[in-house]
Amino acid sequence: MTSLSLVENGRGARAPSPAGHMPDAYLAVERVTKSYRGVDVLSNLDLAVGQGEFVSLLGPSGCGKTTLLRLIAGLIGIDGGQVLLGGRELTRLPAHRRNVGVVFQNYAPFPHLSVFDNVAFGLRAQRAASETIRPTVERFLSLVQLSHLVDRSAKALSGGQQQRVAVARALAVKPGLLLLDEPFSALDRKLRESMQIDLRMLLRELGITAIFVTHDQDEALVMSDRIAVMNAGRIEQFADPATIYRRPATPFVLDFVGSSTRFPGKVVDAKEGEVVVETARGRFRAPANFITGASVFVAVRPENIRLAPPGEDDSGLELTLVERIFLGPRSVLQLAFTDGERLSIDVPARLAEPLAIGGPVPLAWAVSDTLALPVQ
Amino acid sequence: MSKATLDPHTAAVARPGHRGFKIDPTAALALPAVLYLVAAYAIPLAILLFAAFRTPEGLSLANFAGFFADAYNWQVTYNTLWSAGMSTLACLVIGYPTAVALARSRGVVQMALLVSLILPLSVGVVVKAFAWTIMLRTNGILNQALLGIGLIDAPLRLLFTPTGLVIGAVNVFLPFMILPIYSVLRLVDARLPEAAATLGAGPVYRFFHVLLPLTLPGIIAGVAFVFSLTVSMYVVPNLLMGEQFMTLPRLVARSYLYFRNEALGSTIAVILLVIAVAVVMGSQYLIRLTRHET
Amino acid sequence: MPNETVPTFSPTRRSILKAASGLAVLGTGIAGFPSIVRAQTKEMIIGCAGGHVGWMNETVVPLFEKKYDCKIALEGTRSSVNLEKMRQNRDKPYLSVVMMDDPVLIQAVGEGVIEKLTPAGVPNLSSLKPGTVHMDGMWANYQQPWCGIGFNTDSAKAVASWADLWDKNLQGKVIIPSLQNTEGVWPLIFAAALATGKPLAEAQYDIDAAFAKLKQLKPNILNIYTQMPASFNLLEQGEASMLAGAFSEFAIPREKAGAPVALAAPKEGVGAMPSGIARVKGGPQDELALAFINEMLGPQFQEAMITKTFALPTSTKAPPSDIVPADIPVFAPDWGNVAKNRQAWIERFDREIAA
Repeated sequence: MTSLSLVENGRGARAPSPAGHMPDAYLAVERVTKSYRGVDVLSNLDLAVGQGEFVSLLGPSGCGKTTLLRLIAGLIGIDGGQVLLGGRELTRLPAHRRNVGVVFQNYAPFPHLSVFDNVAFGLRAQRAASETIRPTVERFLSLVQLSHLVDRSAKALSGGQQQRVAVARALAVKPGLLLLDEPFSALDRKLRESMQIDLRMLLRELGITAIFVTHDQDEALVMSDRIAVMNAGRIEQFADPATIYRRPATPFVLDFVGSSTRFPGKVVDAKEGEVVVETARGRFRAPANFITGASVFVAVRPENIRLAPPGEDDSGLELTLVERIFLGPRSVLQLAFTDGERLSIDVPARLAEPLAIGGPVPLAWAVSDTLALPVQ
Repeated sequence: MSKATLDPHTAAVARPGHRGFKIDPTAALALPAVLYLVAAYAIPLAILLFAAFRTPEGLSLANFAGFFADAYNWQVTYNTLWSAGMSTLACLVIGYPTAVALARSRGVVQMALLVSLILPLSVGVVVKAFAWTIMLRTNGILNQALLGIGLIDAPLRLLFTPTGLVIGAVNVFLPFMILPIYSVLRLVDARLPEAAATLGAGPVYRFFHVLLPLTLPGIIAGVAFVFSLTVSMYVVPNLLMGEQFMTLPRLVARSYLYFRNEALGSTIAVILLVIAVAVVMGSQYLIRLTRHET
Repeated sequence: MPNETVPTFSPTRRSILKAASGLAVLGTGIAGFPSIVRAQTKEMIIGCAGGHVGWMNETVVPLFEKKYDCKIALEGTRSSVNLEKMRQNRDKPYLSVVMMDDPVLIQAVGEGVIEKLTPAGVPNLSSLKPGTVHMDGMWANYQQPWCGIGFNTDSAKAVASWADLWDKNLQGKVIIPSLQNTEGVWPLIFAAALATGKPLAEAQYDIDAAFAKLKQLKPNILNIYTQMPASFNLLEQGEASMLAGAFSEFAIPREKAGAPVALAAPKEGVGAMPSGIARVKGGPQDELALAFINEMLGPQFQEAMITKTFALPTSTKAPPSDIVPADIPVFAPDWGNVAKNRQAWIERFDREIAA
């Protein structure tokens, strides 16, 4: 994992998948460009997804993730580049010829139809043999656990139920690809979490390739085989969740996924696989490849910080405890540098108790947990 | 339309019942309107109904029996319903796509479309109808246009024909079809046709299975609007048709103003009223039906 | 309009009078209102047709006001509306004189709202053409507008006979008036004469023959109008070739204005329209009213009015008009018969001709 090549950042299409197989790009988005009123929303974007993969597009609103999704679905036109699915070129096909299913953020069940007719809609539109419709609908309704509501009006269902209908409706036509546009964002947290797991299992069982748009990092981490972190119309990093979290390729990914403490500095020494960075808070070692003199950030995830003096192969700091906030199982410590700048970390409450306000607090973390990222 | 007038009414009636006839003081705000309607509408209506059912032998249906015993009156009734029906149909066929375009347009374009739709309402019906007597001539602009694009070989006779009447009526009443459909279309979630497309439904299937059923309340309202207006139109047929195409409203006017036959005039007026009420109630029923189904 | 603001001969009396007559159009019988008018000396309200206001104000009204030092207000509207006002204000009439079509005057006689004219009060009665004083002097005709066949001069040079309407080359080119309109009787009466060969005075009673003949006109009929201006416009544009029963006072000014139309007086005759004038029973300003009626029936006023109306004078003292050639009969039908039968004729017309 530590060997992730920084040169390939933002060109995630060629990153290995966690399953270990190099996908023959079941879905290939190649050099796709889209602009609105002269402003590029997507520029020269590539994305390759393997068959059966569950890929999340993660990014803040306005990063172009929904645009990319609608473009793949054929709901908006493409300005340049191409989209292929299973070797078939989709670029010029209208949405209804693409066999790409979509589950929308606002569910969008057909309000004038019953649950049954909603799920049967695509089958009927595609002129499926009439005797196959009922069994298919019933099968997918039972997969989303809605069999008991088959005759209900779709409009009369709760949000979660409506979204299940939307999922069943999209799956019933056996799409070659399923696109999900923040499908759970309007649900409350508990329901969202259970539906995330249900959906993930269902798709895996059916072997459906899916692209899932979200701005919620937890959701992306929970569900995805791989995550493409998007920013300003580009993919910053495309990798499995663990890599995204532990080895963010850019400061944007570092900030967007999880929290961290970071210090800007310059590389003062570089050898094979490790650099030494000089910062205002001291010198830190980090596993990375940079040339001497490069401007970098040094960062560390808070969970990797221990309340102890640094040992061998550790980096460390000593700060003054300003405030201690008790939260039950954990406590938040407000620490200050000598110049007054604050830094807060949370630790198990038990470890925080012996510390005296105003007293020194030693911090340490492993060199292997230290991140060094290029300043952009 | 009538939904808005019916619902608050029933709500206002239901409430005091629950509170033991304690009337909401804000109901007094409706008093001027109520007084106005009683004076300007309810009382004349009562007089009209009385006149229609009054015969020398007392109140009876004799006036109606007499009216329908005459085959000519059946012809007039048919003319009235035919011209209203055709005008309504033409308004629907022309108005629906227009409403879709209006709902999809944005910003300045939408503003321009709306203005071009509403501004002509400020032009009097008489002016419009008179303008059509010019446009519909054998050498009028409509015939020249049709000849020009090669749709016809010889000029059509349109003026003083039922076709000409429908053309003129559509011009006058089209906004009353477009606006209710547009207002419903605006509320239709744009994701629904998209969802249908991603399920493999082509444009025609999407239209008939998604857009059309979802906009049915607007269509029903528009049809009810235009039909009630065209079934009672007076000025347009008066100018675009001569005596050759008699309709019920013109017969009402003639009965009152010329024959001074109050019984006949009020009888026909009541028949028109029944048609209009049937259309409004029928449309209400249909709208409720579509709502229950969904 | 409060009473106290209307002193006699106040400088604003004319505007007040105008406003008051305007009010009367909206709603008649406002309590106290007629007495305001009666309080004025030398002011008089005359009911006439809306279309007459223009030429009246240009010709006879100034003549009369100057000669008698008084003010005249015209209440121009439909004859039937003026009749309704007289009926409503029977007890306190505010109109002094009414000018209406004969058929409406017959109704007015029936309602008892007009007063008989006598040669003692109206000397000019005795010098009128025969057939222009009606019902023993209940009203008289002050002019005879006439109706012939209006035609588009691009499609015909002249129209010699009423039979020309039936020309096979005129399919969909002929406009006729509705029987609801006063001039609607002309196609019917001339059709009767053509069908029976009888003189107009006799033929007018043979209504079955009239309908049978008119039925044959159906292929030629473009429109049967109730609103003449729009139809006349079609004649000017050439959409129609002939308009049977066109008014002199409407067609001739258009011809003089250069429109490609002319009014023909066919050899069988022209129809004399019944422009009657009558005195309102119990109306204010009785003397002034009689003076006005007398002047309207005299040669000076008639000569003045026909410069605008192109009608035929009814006074024998007026110089003969050359608008209608001397050898063409000017026919005034039995309006009593028309009035009596009109409703039945309209119903028959609806079913046999219009439908």
